Amino acid sequence: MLDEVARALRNDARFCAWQVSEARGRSAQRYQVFTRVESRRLVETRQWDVRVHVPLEGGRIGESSFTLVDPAQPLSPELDAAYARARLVNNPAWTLPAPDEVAARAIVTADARIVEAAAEVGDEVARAVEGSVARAGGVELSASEVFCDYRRVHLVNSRGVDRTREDTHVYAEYVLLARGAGDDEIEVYQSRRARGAAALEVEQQVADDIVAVRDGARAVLPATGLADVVIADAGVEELFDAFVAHAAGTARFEGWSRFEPGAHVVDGARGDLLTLASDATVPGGLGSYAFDDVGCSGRRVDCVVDGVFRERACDRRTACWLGLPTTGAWGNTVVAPGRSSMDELLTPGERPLFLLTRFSQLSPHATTGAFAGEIRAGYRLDRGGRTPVRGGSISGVVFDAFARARFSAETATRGRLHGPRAVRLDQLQVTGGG
Amino acid sequence: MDLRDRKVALAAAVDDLLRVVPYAHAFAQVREGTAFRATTRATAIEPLDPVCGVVLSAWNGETMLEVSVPSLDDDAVKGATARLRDLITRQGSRTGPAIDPGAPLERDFAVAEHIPVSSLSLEERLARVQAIKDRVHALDARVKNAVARATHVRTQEIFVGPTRRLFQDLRRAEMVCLVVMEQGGHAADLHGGRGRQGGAEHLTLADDDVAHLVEDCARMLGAERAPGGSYRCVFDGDVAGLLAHEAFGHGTEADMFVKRRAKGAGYLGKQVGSELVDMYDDPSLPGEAASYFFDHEGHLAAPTRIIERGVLLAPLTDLVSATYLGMARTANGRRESVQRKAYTRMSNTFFGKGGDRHDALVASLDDGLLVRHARNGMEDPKGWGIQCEAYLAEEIKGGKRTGRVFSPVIITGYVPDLLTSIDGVSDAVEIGGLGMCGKGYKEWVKVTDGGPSLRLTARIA
Repeated sequence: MLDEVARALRNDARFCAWQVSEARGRSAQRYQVFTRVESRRLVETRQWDVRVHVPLEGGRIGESSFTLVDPAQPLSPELDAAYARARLVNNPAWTLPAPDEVAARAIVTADARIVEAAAEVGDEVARAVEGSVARAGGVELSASEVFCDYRRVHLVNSRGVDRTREDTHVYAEYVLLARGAGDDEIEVYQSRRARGAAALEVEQQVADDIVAVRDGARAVLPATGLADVVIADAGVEELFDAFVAHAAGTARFEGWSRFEPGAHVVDGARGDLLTLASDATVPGGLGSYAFDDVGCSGRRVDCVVDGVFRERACDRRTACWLGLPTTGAWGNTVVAPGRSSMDELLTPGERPLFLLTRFSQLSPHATTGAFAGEIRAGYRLDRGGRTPVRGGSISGVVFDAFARARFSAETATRGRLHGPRAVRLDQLQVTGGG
Repeated sequence: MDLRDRKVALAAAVDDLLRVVPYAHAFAQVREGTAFRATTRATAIEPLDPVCGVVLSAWNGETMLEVSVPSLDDDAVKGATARLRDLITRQGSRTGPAIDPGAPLERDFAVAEHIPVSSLSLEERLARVQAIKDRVHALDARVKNAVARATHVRTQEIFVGPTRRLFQDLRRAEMVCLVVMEQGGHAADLHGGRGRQGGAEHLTLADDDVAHLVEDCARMLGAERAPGGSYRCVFDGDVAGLLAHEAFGHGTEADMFVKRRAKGAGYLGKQVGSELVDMYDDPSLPGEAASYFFDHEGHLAAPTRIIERGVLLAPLTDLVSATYLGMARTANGRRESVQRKAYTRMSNTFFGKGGDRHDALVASLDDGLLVRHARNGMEDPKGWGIQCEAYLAEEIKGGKRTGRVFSPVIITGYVPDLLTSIDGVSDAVEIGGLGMCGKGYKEWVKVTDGGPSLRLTARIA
């Protein structure tokens, strides 16, 4: 099918450039409710994504795309429709990559066991979660979902690029329950993603979550006021998202990036200076790729170094539009650790200190950097020890809050983020009781 | 493609499966559409990611076993049936609750387009979004990026079960506008629009709506955060809808009851809000963007009264959850696509109207906030915590707007506290049509939410 589409595109003089990629995948999905397997699912996917460019006056281009899901679907009407759409889209020109621009690198993005035995791996992960919970006692597994996915992509384009990649992806989600005060139960929700099952670190994660749910059962609402806050573990995963958004070419092209080369990304920084990169080459990284959606190889881009914006991460299209080098789509977010140990970050000062590990969502706003997170798990720390907290929220603006940031020396991988295990933000607004 | 042609092949597959399991059904889906997008610096006319495939489901007494394939042809369906039979053999049969297949029914349903999308040329549709984008720029020089997007989606679905053969043809259109502004190092963005079932008649956005969007976005530039604390507030219909969705929408999804993840399970028949609070989920609302005729498990759409006069009445259910709980089925068994499992999901979720005028509610605030432009929220059905975010709140003093604006606005708190504090409900319900909803952090389905304006006490972070 891929060859047939490529042949048709090659013979169609209306298009000055084209690309077709074939994606075939399969997914084994397992759902459990308490001890009962609620559902088992086997899913096959396949599609052919086609992109076409047509030349327009003044060096501009028209472009469009379409997806075939059925090999029996007649190709000719789809090409005619794509041409009709593309000739109306009058955009600045950009080119698809040539073979000499996409140096192939060996990037590990597939786990052999998932490729060979996805359903079995899913069972093993689910049983590992269940077994860890059962051994702990006093905590119940409410539900789990484990997906093991495999996908193979073959991409060719009009300039001679011909590349294939394989990706695997394992997703594990579960909920633990523990008895709280009176009749109340407390839950802890967890979701982890990785290329392979081992990287999920299921036993350690479940052990941490068992502590969290037990402590949550006696948690109190934090008091309202300014506090020093250490955000750790799952809480860190979204914390850098607004920096990522402003470091990307799209923000520059659309006119709202606040970052300029050579300028500080945070004004008046008095804490650790941010060093942030996009790196699509991290072995086994969720954001790693052999090539992106248009066939460009990924690389490391040191966007922010010691608090200063250096280089913009640009996919092929925005790179052409901005006249910048193509770096490929954003890969893994890599943040340099700090000099302070976790113990040092967790030393209380004059203000209340909180260690917060889970939020409903933190989601810093891409444009403004404003964030807020309802506290799902954490502790108030004082010289007398730790008091679990739950409920209430923290809020701020990352571009302001990072002026007082300190990063832990210890590192961790959460999703696509490889960076410090914890970030301390002093004088953050906590809204809770009182 | 006319999906109805596939009914016979799917019925044969279900009959085959029923030889080895007590219950089976088939669900096929074809979703296609096109998005027209005009931004400040580029345009696009792109088909939406298509969905095309079949999922076969077989109940072995304990587990719903499913095989999904990305094709509707006979060979693919036969292959899926063989794979599912193999899975059934490997899993064996279990003793468990029997699934009620429902009363026999064979019907076809369709949403009408008053103005067929196909009656507008590509040029005409593109011109509509370009006009909105240009209008945004004409209104304010501080606009850095303007995006107008017109989308139309057609979804055809077949459900074939032991007793039912149903087909629906759903058509939806929406127009969305996003504004990004910057001034003096301060940035703000805001989006708005409308989405409804139907055709090109909904691919519009009134000039006044665009103007208000730009005006509100400009007011957010450099706006301060509201000091954290408890406030008397009026939520407009948009923010009220977000509250409905997050507060007791997710909290009454019955699959969360089965997992003991919903505190509401212990509160059925009990007071959870003030007597002014009525709340519904209704997939049968004519014309709303998340409406449908039957859910993905073959149950016909009908309204569910979730809360009446502050009393929690009934959960939303899917097939398996209702079976395990012994509760009535509602038409809320929905999938992201054939590639994903069916869960209990909301459709159009909203508070019922009251007797106050919106302006009177605002005028009654001595010192408070008018909260507008919902952004997003997160549920906590187990703890009844809530987090909702709105883009904008206007300060009200002595019943009048002072001109002071806060942005963004984070509402947190304990759901029954919020609902119990409601002491004013306006007389008109607004339902927004742009929502999508995840289950946790995935499984996205089309939903809407809305409500009248609510006067209440809320904790602002």
